Amino acid sequence: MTFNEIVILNVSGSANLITVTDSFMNIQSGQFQMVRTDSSFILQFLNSESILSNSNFSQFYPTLIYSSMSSMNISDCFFGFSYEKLGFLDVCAIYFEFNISFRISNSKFNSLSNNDQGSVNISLLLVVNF
Amino acid sequence: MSGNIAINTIENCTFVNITSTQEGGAIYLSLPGDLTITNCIFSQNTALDGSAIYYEETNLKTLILRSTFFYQNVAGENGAALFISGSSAMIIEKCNFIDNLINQNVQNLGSVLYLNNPGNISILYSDFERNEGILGTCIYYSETS
Repeated sequence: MTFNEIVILNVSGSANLITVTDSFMNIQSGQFQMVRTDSSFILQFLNSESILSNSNFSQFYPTLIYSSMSSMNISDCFFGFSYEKLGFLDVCAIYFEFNISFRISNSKFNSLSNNDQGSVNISLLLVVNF
Repeated sequence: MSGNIAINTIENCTFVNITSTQEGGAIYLSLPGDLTITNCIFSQNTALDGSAIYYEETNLKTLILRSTFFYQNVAGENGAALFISGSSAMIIEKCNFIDNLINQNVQNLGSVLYLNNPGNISILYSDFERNEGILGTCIYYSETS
């Protein structure tokens, strides 16, 4: 599965916005702005392989990306001007856990705040090389 | 697939003006695997402990910090730049730690590094300037639990 462009602006709701399971996803030039949900995260990757590049993630809450049992390559992205508001994971931008392999490069994290631990939380992992 | 990743890395990234009410302002780590952080900037981040990076004890193999700049990070308690609690090995190479600050309380330790029960530590070709604290102004090392 390949997405060349995703634009999600000023969206709110009560469900996780995107869940990717057992798939390959390529997001290029994505725009995620003013996203508000009362669920625990906005993008969820489960047992998947994903590439996020040249994308802008700003003014969102709660946790933006949750990834488990997955491989993620994040490059040339911007995460900014967002806060965690008592979300389930208490992390602002990225939460990785359980058997994940990752590379984050050429990206900027600016003006983020959260109620607990780290804008990027990499925890409880059993890291493997895919 | 083109997205295969062999090594966990964070490189050429900036973490600026990130706040956390607890541990790990920019990055919170608790992982039993290798991680390399290269050519990154951590600036003006705040947290209770480990305002740039907080690493919690698990079975980490090796944490490598290379050519990374820690500037004006502020901790409410310990380790304005790094709080490390247990690891198999840590290598800090060609890093700069400048103007990092912990709250001026005698119980707060390590304006740059707070190391609690760490494994083998190597600090090479790095610069520590104008970091402020009371005890263990730059680096505090303890083997207590």
